Amino acid sequence: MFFHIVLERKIQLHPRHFGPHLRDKLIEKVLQEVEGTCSGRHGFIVAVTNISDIGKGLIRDGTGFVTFPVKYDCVVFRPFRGEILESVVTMVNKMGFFAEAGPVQIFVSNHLIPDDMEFQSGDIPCYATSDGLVKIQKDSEVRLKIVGTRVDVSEIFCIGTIKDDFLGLIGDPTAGG
Amino acid sequence: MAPNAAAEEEDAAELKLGPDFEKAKCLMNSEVAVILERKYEQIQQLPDPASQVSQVFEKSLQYVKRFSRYQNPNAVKQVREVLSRNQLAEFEVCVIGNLCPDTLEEAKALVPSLAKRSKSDDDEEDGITDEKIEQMLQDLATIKKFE
Amino acid sequence: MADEDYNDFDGGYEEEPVEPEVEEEIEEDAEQPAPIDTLGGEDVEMVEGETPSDKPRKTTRYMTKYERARVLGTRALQISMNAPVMVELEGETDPLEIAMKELRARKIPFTIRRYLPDGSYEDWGVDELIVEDSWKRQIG
Repeated sequence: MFFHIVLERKIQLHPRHFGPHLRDKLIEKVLQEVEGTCSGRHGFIVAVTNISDIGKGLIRDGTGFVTFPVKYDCVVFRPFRGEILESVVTMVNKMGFFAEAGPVQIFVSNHLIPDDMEFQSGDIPCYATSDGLVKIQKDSEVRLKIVGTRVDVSEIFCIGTIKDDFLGLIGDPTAGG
Repeated sequence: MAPNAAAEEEDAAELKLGPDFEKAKCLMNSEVAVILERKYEQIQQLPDPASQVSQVFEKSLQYVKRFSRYQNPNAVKQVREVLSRNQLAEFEVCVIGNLCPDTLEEAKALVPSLAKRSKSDDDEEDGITDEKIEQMLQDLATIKKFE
Repeated sequence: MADEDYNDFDGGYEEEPVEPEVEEEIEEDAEQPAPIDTLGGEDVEMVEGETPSDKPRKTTRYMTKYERARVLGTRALQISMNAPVMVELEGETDPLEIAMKELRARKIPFTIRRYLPDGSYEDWGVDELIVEDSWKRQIG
């Protein structure tokens, strides 16, 4: 799920930027340091939408640098256990398949794929029902539920399931969906 | 607090999002699409657009473009209005807005916290009844149709 | 009590001063209209958890020589690192000299944070403090 939250970051600034453009430089640095990063706590920071407050700077002893606390509004993507979302399949193998929902990778193991779907290797590996009507392959859109998240310092990885009501394939690329 | 301890506590099905996100404003994919596209346009006007776009941004933009149910910003606004008319949690609003369930059963399956509340709701205390949910889903379908 | 403490430091120039107040200078940039005067709005930022004392400030209106030394030193360092200079120069090149000139013109964009023994602190803008040199002449 995407959220709009307020975060704070301490930005170190070199003395040469202390002129009239100090604020611009700070904002530039926030964007540079923050956008596209990921933390286990707040998820992926997708985009900064607004700088809400720049606090008073604190001089770093002996270096001449100054640290400013900057508050900013941003759009983050943070997956939660139990959340249901839609995703795009990126890779299929006999262990299960990988899907992406925005910046996050989700793995759905073959234990969490309904039993009536079988892995079929070949040119385009896929999971399909025996009648071939439902087929999950690369680029399929799948609705899944997140059952677990693994949080690293700079990455979030999810385990998903499609073994529940109303989960599974949404649109099949071969069927023109 | 160890991040793991927090992860144990979290469960979106029961609306437990942890202290950082309990009060946070959720966004529907369609809303994110509006925000990101505007930002993307701004970036394109800068002298060196390539260096400004992170991979996370690009992937998110692609994702929300692909999965946003409502393209028109006005429709997005209406959807939020309809959904927030009923006392839904932010998170529930956005799950419904993102997934657009067609039926009552589907809505309840996708938003377990909704099912739990509406069950105990013959006394109408929480303000969410099956009828209201169905009404809401119909309204959404209408918006979608006339978008 | 603080007043006496400050003025009594006549003799020992040479000793490394055991600073009575560990002061922190706060940078605030003169050109930025918005954030300057919001005094300590965020508690978040107060890393060490002390609060600004809400009582009227009671420490001396004179800049102590230690504060002067630190302000000049820090400012000179910044100037040596290409910080924009806040005064018109008349051929000065030595960063310390420029810093002194800025101090005389009260243009150093710092605030001094004086910590008191009970953990609270007072903020004094460099431009508010009276600066004397070691011969008791008022120079800034």
